[in-house]
Amino acid sequence: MQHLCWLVLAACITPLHALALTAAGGQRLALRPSSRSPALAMGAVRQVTTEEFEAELQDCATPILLDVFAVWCGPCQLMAPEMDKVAEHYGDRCRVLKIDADDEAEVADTLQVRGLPTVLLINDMSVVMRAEGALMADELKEIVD
Amino acid sequence: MAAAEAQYDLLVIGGGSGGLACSKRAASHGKKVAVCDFVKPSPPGTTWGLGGTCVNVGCIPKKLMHQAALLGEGMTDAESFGWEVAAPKHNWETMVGNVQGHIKSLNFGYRSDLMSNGVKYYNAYATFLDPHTVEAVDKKGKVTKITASEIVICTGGRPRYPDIPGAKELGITSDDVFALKSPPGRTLVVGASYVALECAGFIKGVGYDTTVMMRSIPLRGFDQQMAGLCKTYMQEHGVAFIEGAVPTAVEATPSGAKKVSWKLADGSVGSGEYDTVLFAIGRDVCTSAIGIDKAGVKLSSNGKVPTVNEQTNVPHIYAIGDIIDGEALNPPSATTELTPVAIQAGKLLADRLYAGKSALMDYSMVATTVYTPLEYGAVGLPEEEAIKLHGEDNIEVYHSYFKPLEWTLPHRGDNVCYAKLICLKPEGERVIGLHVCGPNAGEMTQGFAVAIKAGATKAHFDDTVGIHPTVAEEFTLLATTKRSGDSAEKSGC
Repeated sequence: MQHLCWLVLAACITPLHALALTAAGGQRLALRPSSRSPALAMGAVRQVTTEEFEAELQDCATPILLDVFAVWCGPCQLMAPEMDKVAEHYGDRCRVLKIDADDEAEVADTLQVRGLPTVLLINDMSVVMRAEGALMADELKEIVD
Repeated sequence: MAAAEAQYDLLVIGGGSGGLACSKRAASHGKKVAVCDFVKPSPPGTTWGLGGTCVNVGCIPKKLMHQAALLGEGMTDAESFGWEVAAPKHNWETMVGNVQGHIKSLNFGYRSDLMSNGVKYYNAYATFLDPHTVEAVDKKGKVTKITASEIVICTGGRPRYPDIPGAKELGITSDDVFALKSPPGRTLVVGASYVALECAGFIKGVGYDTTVMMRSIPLRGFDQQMAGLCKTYMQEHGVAFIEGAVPTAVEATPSGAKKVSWKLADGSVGSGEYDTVLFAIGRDVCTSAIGIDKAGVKLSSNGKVPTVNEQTNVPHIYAIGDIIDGEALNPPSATTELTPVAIQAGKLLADRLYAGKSALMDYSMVATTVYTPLEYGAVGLPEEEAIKLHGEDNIEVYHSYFKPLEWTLPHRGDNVCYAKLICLKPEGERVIGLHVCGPNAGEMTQGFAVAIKAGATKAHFDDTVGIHPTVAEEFTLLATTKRSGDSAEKSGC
């Protein structure tokens, strides 16, 4: 497994903000506090957009397990229920997110995703672990632990 | 906001098959490379991802939908082979969904491929500011000013609409048909290009009433005897043809259908109602809105780019793919608008520019296949061209009608499939044209193309032992010349 230093990612995240800025009509994107409701978030995989993902990144309270997937990707479908199990297992100790590589292509590019699914563990704004290919719940938990 | 600026060794404008292949090859030679690709929505609003025409709105979806039609035919045949199946029912939405899913996976693959090869991708529309600089604007309006030492233009083409009322408002083209969310219903295909006949073929093949409106000849540029066989097969399988007609207007009817009016060659007029009107009357290259004058690149009157070894009149600017002018090549080529041609040209160009190689693109003897319901594969010259170029006395044509073994049980037509070899007599009957109408024509033609590229003669074909029972073995058995006047048909039982 490959460790990516935050420096690399940080350099890429900046233009990501710039993109969001333009979308917001030139106004600075307000970094909202995470809007998720604890009741909903508890133990469920949440699909996020680019903007939502950026907001999640700013929140360093818990690690993020991110599944970059696509609807046409067979192994991604295979892994989806495994991600559910992981989300349930960690509850509010880990945010389990997924992002559609087609809809949010800039994020996939920024995160250097070259194959699907790609699972990234993000802690304190750094990608600390990444894995390509479908993993079972046990393997996913190993990444988080 | 000031435009961002970036500098590269090579800038490729257009992320189709040719551009991507060229960019990756250049990067593999250690160059700093960028690709700009941007798809302007079609009039009905269809748009797509990285990869160009072939991947998104051409070869890939059309072959998959052709396969859908073949499977339908196969299910009908299956009964004669003992399968007891309920009458098959086709679901358009399922087909489109799966085809589009596959295309998205290819789009993703291309993006990730560029990343792996260190090629910078701009999903932005590039316009020349001067011969070394373009302005690339992305969908959010962000501008990047890109300069490059060398530039490859490969912006491809888009379907042409006729200049008649209602065409753009109510019609669709091949840019849209592969992503149609609801079934096409009664369909009128206007045109008789390979795009037209392929689309009409699969739309009919998956179960919709289909009519082709053609002005003159089918498959212009292809061998006309073969084109006739493709058309006859379609007619015999329920595709209606309105010949010698051009559309004059498309109107919406109160019921939501499209009423198409047309004019026939004899001056009479006609009209009909359809659910879908698909225009496939030709394609225009995308060279008119990229500021090409600012680059100083000269164009032919049809907007195509004359090139010598892919180089334009501006020494550091090159062109590959659909936009190059095949007529201006020496010798002229009718097979420039093909994905593998663009890929080959792009790779060889990058090798010459950045790896000191010298191999040139050979645009002759390029094999191709038309995926009409009866497939048609060809390498080399059409018979008419061969005669025009070499004189009738110097040409020997060997030919045969045949029926694939697999067609016998379901009693599908006799003497429907056809094979011919066009040989140049003064050169020891070197094969200069191979044409075949039959199942899997593409698979057959590809292999023969290697032999023909290597200079195969009729004797080489005769010396080759066939594989029995195949369709391709027909080429090892050709004994009848057209000149003899003997029948090339095979008799029945």
